[in-house]
Parts: sequence; C-alpha cells; structure tokens
Amino acid sequence: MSFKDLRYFTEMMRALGYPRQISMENFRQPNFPLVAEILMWLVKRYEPNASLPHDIDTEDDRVIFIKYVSQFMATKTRIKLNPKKLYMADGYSVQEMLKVVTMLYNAVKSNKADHANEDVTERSFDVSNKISELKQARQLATEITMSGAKLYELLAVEVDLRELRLAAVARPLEMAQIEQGMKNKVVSIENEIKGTQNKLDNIANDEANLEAKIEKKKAELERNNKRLKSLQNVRPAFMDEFEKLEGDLKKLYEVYMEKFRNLTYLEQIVDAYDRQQQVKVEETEKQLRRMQEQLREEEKKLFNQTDTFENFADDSDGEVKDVKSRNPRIVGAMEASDSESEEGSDYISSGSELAGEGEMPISDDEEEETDSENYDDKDDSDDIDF
Amino acid sequence: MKFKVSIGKKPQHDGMVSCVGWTVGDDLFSCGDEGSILKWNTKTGDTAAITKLPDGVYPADMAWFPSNVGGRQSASELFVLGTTDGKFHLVSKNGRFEKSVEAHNGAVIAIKWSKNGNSLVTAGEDGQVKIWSRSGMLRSTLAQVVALGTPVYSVAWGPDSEQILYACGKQIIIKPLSPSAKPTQWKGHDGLIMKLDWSSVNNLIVSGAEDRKYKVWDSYGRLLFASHPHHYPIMSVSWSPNGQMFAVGAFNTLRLCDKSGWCYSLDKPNTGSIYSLDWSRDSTLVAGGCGNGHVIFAGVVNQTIEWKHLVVTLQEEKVLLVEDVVNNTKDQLEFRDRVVKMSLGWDHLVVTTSSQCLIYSTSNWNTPLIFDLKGLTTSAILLARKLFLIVDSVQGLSVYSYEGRLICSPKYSGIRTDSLNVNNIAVSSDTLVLVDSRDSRAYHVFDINTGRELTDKPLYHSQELLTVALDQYGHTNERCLGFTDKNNDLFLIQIRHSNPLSKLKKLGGMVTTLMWHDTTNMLSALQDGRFTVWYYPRAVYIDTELLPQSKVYKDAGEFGKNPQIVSFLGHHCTLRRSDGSLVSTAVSPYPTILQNYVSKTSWDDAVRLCRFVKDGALWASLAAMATAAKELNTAEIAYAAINETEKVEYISYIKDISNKAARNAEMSLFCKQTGEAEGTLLQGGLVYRAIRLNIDLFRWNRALELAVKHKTHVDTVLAFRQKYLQDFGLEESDNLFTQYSKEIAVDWTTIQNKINMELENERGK
Repeated sequence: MSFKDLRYFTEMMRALGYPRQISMENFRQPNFPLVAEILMWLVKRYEPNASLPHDIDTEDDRVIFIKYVSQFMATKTRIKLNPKKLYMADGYSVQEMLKVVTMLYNAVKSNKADHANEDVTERSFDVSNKISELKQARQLATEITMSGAKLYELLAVEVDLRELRLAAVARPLEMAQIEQGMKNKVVSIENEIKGTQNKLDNIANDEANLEAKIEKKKAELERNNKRLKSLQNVRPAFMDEFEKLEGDLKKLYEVYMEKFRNLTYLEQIVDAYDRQQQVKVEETEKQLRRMQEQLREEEKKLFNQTDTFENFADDSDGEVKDVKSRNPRIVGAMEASDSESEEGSDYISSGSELAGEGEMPISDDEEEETDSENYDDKDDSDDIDF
Repeated sequence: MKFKVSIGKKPQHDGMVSCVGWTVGDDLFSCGDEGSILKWNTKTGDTAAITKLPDGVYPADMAWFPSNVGGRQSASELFVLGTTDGKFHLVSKNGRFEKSVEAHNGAVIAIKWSKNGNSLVTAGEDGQVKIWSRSGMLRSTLAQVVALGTPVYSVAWGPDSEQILYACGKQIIIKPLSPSAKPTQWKGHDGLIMKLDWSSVNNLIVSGAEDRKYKVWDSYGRLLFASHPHHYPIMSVSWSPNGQMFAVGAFNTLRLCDKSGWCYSLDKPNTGSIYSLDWSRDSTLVAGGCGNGHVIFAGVVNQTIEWKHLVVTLQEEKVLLVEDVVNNTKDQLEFRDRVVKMSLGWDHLVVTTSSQCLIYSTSNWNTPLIFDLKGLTTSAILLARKLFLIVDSVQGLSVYSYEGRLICSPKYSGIRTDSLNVNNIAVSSDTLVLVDSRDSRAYHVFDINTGRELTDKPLYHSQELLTVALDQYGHTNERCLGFTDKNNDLFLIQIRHSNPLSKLKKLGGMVTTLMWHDTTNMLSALQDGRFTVWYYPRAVYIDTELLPQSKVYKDAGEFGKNPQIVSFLGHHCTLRRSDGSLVSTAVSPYPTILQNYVSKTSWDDAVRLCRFVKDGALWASLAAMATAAKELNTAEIAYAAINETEKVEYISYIKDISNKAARNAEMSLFCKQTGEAEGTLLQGGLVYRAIRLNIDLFRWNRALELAVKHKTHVDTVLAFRQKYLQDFGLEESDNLFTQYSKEIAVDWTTIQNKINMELENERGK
C-alpha cells in the first residue's frame, strides 16, 4: 500500500469520471464492496454488455466475482491481475486495479490530446448548410428503406437457400472427386501460366516492330524538311523586272517630290511678293495724295500773293503754317524708305536660288515705279531656272 | 479581483506534478512523478530540466529555504524535497543532492521550513510529525498518531515558528513545540483533511478536505468561514504571503478567495487535480502543480482601489486604469514591469512594480516621479499625509516623501521583515509605530525624520496587539496611537509624551476594527455590534466623563458579522462585510466643520454651529476642545449646554483667579492632572497653593514634604492633619508627623492669619 499509488488511483478515477468520490483513506481497511463496485464499473467501461455476478455477500460469491473479473481482464485487455491481491481489497488491490485504470486513463489522455490538436470550430448556426445536410439525410433514409426492403426480400429467399446451403455443406466429400477437381485446376492454371509466358515472349517482337516504325517516320520527316528548304531557295522569273521597276519608281518619286517642293516654295514667294506689292501700292497712293495736297496749297499761295497788298497782316500767319506742314512730310518719307530696304534684304537671304543675282535695287521715293518693274524681271528669271 | 490563468499547450511533465515552489526571484521549480525537476522562468517563459530523480523515487512535497533570514543569503539556494520512499533530500539550486535523510516509514507527505529557517518539519504516511535541524538532524518527534494509523497529510508552522499545525484524518491539531504544552485539537471537516495553511500575517488557518469544502479558522479553532461543497475534494490551499487572500485548488478548479473566505474568482482549467499551490513572494502570481502534468500559472488582476472620486483598477499585469468618477475621465497607465502593489490616498497614487516605484499626483497622471526600488517584493504600501512607507518582505521598511526622497529606513534589532503587514504598522507624517514581530505585546515608536526609536526599549502592553493606527492631525507631541489588543479592547496612547504609559487610556472594549478620519482626528470603530464614532477621542485626556458623551453610535446589524472598516473619508465610512460586499454609512458632517473652526480658533463660530445643530455629542466635543485650548468662555458655554453644572461652577471659579499660574494649575486640576497642577504651582512660586492642593487631596506626606522643603506652613499641614484625624477618630500612625507635631506647636489663629496673608500676597502679585 502506498501513498503514491493511492493518489494516482484517486486522480485517475476522478479523471475517468467515476461517479463516487474515492477517498485516500478508503483502502486503509479492507473494503471489498468498494473494490467490487470499482471493478464492476471498470468491466462495464470495457464491455458495457458484460454480465457480471452481482452477489458478493458470501465468501464464495466474492471468490467467483474476483475470478470472473480477472478472467475477463486477462482475455479482453490482456492485463494479468492477481486475484489474491484483489480479494484482499486493501492497498494491494489498488495496485492491481491501477494497472487497468492506467490503461484507460492513458487512452483518455491521448484521445484528449488529439482533440486538443484539432481546431475547435464553433458550432455554426448557418441554416443553408443544414439544408444540404437535410437533403443528404433524406436520400440516405430512402436508401435505407430500399436496402431494408432488399434485405427483407433476400432474407425471405434465405429460407430456401438455407436448405440448399445446408445440403451442400452436408454432402459428404469424395477423395477421388476432389483429386480430379484439383488436377483440373492445376491444369487450367498451368495453361494460364503458359499463355502469360507466350505473351512475355511476344513483347520483344512488338518492341522491335515499334522501333522500326519510329525509324521510318523519322526518315520521312527528314525528307520533307529538305524539300521545304529547296523550295524556299528558288527565285521566281519576274523578280528581276520587278526590282528594276521598283528602282525606277523610286527615282520618279524623288523627282516628283523635288518638283513639288519647288512649286510650294515658289508659291510661297509669290504670295509674299503680292503682299509687298499691295503695301507699295498703298504707299504710293498716299504719296500721291500728299503731293496733290501740296500742289493745291501752293496754288492757294500763289492765289494769295495776288491779294498781298490787300491782306498784308495774313502773311506772317501763312508762313508759320507752311513750316508746320513741311516738317511732318519729311519725317514720313524717311520712315518709309528705311522699312523698305530691310524687307528687301530679307528676301535675298532666304531665296537660295537668287544668291547669284548681284544687284540689289535701292531706290528713292521718286524711283518707286522702276523699282517695282525690276522685281518683276527677277521673278521671271526665277521661273525659268526651275 | 480575479485570476488570469495561463497554462501550457502540452504538459511538460509526463506524470502528475506533485509539488511546486518559487525561488526568491521569478523562477519556479516543479517536480513531477516521472522523476524530473523542471525550472520555469516566468519572465522569459522558458522551461529547463534541472535534474532527474533516481528510478522508483517519487516526489511528494518540496519547500524552498526561506530567503529573508538575515545574512544567510547563500542558504536560500537550496530546497528540501520529500519523497515517497520516506526520505527527504536537501537539493541545491542546480539540482545537486546535498544530503538525503531517512525520515519516515512510508512516504514523506508534507515538509515545511520554519519561518526563520532554523528548523524543518516533516509529516509522513506513518502518522508522525518530526522536527529536524537545518542540517537534517532529528530534533524531536512531535506527534505520533498511533490509534488510527492514519497518515498526516499536511503540516504548517505557526506565525511565530513555535507551533505546528497538522491534520490527522478529520482533526486539525495545533501543537506547540515545547513538549509539556497541550495541543489544541478540533474536528475540522467531515472528510479527510488534505491541506492546511497558516498565514503568518493575519494568523488565520485555511483547510481543505475530501468533504469538498474549504474552511477558514482563527488560531483558536473558531470557524470563520466554510465554503459550499465543491464537486471534487479540495487538494490544495495556500495563503498569499501578504495575507490578503488565498488560493484553493481542486480537480479542474482554481479559486481565489479573500482572507475572510468569500470567493473572488473561480476558474475551471483543464488540469486534473491541482495538488500543490505556491505563491510568488510578491503575492501577484500563484503556481499550481496539476494532476495531468501541467503547471498552471495564475496572476492576480482586476484589483480595484477607491479613494474619494477616483477608482484605480489593475486591468492587466502591466496596465492600470484610473477613473475619475466626477469628470468621467479615464486614464490608462502602462508600466514596464509587473505591477506588484498600489495604494491610493492623500491625493497620491503610489505604484510599485517589480523594479520601480512610481508616484502619481491625482492632479497629473502623465508625469510620475520614478525611482528604483531596493527590494523586489513589496508587501504593502502605507500612505500618510506627507509621506509614505514601503514595506518589503526582504529589505524591510523605507519611508519616502511624495517627492521621492528617502527619509529613513527604520529598523529595530531582531526585526522579521516577512511578518510586517498593514495591521502591525501605523504611520503618520511624523511618527511610525511597529509592533514587535517576536512579541506582539511590544511596540516600537520611531521618529520619522531621524528614523530612530524614541525610547530605548519598546513599549509593552499587557496583551498582544492586534491592530494599530495613528491619528494624522494635531501637534506632534500629542500624536495619539489607537490600538486594539487581544481582548479586543481599544486603547489610546499619546506616544510622544515623555512618559507615554501614563497617557494610556482605554476607550472601550469589544472593538474589532478601527479607522481614523482623513481630515480630522475623529475615530471610527466597530464596538460590540455597533458602529461607533468618537468625535474627539483626545477628550479622554481632558475630561473622561466627556468621552462617552462625545461619541455617537448606530446599530451595525446591516453590516453583518465581523465587518472591517475600509475607509473613513469626509462624512462617509465604508465597511466590508464578511461576504466581501462594501457598505457605506453616513457620518454627521458637523464634527468635521466644528474641528475646522476650532483649528482656526474661531470659537464663536464653533458655538454658533453647536447651537444650530443642538447635538449633545457635538457640545461635549466642543467642551473638551475648548478646555484643551484653555478657552474658558467657550468651555463654560459648552458645559452648560450639556448640563454639567458643577463644571460650569468650577470654570467660573477658575475664571475669577487673577494669577495666571494658579489659573493654569486649576485647569490642570480640572483635567485631573494633579501632578501637572502641582508642578505649575511650584514653578509659579505658589508654594502655599501647592501645599493646600496636596492637603485637599489627602496626600499628607507630600504636603509635609513640600512644607519642610520650603520651610513654610509646616504647622498648617500639621493642623489640618490633626483636624482630619480628629474628624475620623483615628490615631496618628505616621512617625514623621508625630515627630514634627512634637517640635512645632499648632495654633489655628496664627495659621488662619498666615493663610490670609498668603492670599493677600497672591492678589498683590
């Protein structure tokens, strides 16, 4: 009897869920009823249907009980219990019972460990999942009824079949017949073996055949490849002509392009020239108008001089007016000439073809008409050059 | 308060863990039945195997050598392990077996070091309890349970290491070590008692048994609490080192209980039976050895403390939540280390972690004052008005100001730091009182500023002291200590008086708990089933008759059996019932106002208040305060209001005395301080009055002595003596008097003349 064993025993029984509390002191004195109860419970844990003798009142009954339990444990669980110690029903019996309990406890413990490893998912209340389950359950239910009916039918047939089976089983066996049967079997198996052997031999032939076929296919592939290459190398007859024509077309296109470019350039120059002319025309018109006014005034003066003696006081006024009118005229002329010369030089530098034309006409206000004629000549010569 | 349980994924032990034990630091040692000893580090969470026991040796119990034994730090590196083969082994920290001793026939089931580390007790399967020396020599066999042959399953030392508590079957037995003393024995449970523990701090015993109950007892064996039956036997119980709570372990069950027994929290971990529980030194963690090989750790969290409008909750091990109920604001304080202890009061929150101390002001939660702690295991923090005290169960006491400055570390010779707790320490801003840890009848008084004891020897009381408390206000020299002793009598003593024991006064009997008020010197207590408040306890030094008049009480039936006062703030007093619930009761706000007026010496206001309230107790306390301040007019009014005619008469007589010394002497006499009165008179040169005082008190010898010494009025003394003897028809028996009466003739007329002359002189002065 040991403190440690008792402690272990009580702890394990608690963990196994034994309904009563076992005290450390329960086995100080022999306590057969408790031992018997625990043993009964343990036996029921192994085999719920086990039928145990319940009587433990007399000595004989107890012996029978212990015997039964130790036999049960030996056969079902391969645990050898010492019936003498069990019968003593004290600390030593605890040692015996501990063997059984330890096994159960370890089983529970390892099982718990497995459960602990699994992820414990919370029970979901999702109904949609359940619907599929319901369907499955219904299907299963129908299957069960069907198979039940089938089973029932089969069982009904069983009555007849049983007789036949029993007859077959009951029929005495004849040695000769058996021997014959065996021999037949042996022969058939031998045939089978031969067949297999043959097949094995043939495998080599098949292999060779396949090899040859592969070879043939390979050669074919090569030939086809060669043909493809040769075809690619052949040059069609019209090719030379095509290339030549292509070259001509290229040249022609270049010429065309040049001409087109010149044309657009010249058009641009013509436009610029026209604009210039327009400006010049306007300028001359202005000039002419001014000259006309001047002339008119001079005429007026001359007209006035005849009246000098009559209106002497007016003379000084007239002179002042004359100075005033002269000044703006000079300024205006200077401006016009300046702007003109600049424009002209611009044109010269931009036109590449005109570089050879040396003379740059610079003219006074009086020579404007001739100047414009000169420009016209130049334009003509340009056209010829193209 | 509850446990935060942590348990490993897989059991580290293959077999059942039968014992666990904490080292001084954060390490835990556990022994499993498969024979291995493991070391667990709670900081890092590591587990390391220390050693393996030889085959066939199974551990049953272990105990670490107590660490707080002065100067023997090296000894704490070893523990003792009892095994089922009847031996115990002294094992060093690194797993070396220093010594093995054959102890019992059968297993050694329980083993414990005494608190001072001098001896070791073992209890075995053979029913014997043996005492061993530190080195493993047998000292005595204390008990032998022969009759039943039952093993002793548990054993524990008494708080003073002079008694052994052990369980035998259903009996709980307390056996003193001295062989002649008789053991105390009682039936504790209906089932086999599996575990016992005896707290050295609160002197309570807790027991757990196979009848599935745990019970709390006091050291006389009176039942204080019995739990409802659980589903499984109680396998382990353990007191926390600070004595505030205990843990209970059973099959798949772990409970945290208050010291009065009610349950804070219940956990149902999947552990099997918890066979052994042990608390870490700082009482924040408990470890348990489990039947399925696990070692379970449970930290105490969710502690809550309240003060005025503030509630501080320990949310997790390192997080505090401060709630201001008035502003509805919440602050979260996080710490680097585990919070060990916290205390709130006097506008400050003091928190100690495992390495630091942090001081928060209640007005600013952001910037605490931080300093490093010397000790690692704070067992209590006591706050006073201007300073606080940290009690470390290893390092002792240290007093700090709220600025974090160390003021002093008081100690006396033979101090046992592990026994220091809230009940045997009282602190105020100038004085500290410690109850002696060896003899709780003695108490030491320290001046805080110097850290020295005020008296050479501790003060002795006739009985053991249970609780002590100091008042916080008033003059330093009048500092009062209230304490209850073993007979539950409440005493008041002016401990800074030159002769303190002369100032020891009994306030009342049957007092179980007491508490001073936070802003005045009011005292509340539970006295004989009544909640009592003394408005002015110092009245006991002024006029004893005023004391019963200046107290109010109400029935404490609503507080149940044995409540404890938790706080006495403003005009609320909070009590904790024995079932753990808090109950508040209101106290009249007028005494606080009155004391404020008195401290500002606005006597007129005080009188007006009393007239308005019309309360006898208030008048009585005003009378006492006015008398103490020698404010005769107010005292006269107050005494008149409580119908003390003779005192009013006497005060008006005093008022008529013109001489100041004489008046003071009469005041002292009024307060029944005759010695003081005589001293005042002699100092003022009023010899005749002094002599007459003694004559009136029939202290003839003293009167004669004074007369002879000052060479006047010897005949007066003799005359009065003769008259006295004549009136009573007695003969002169004193030799001194017969001698003087022979020398000096007595003439009544001359005496009368002399007396008149003296009175004339006095008036002339």
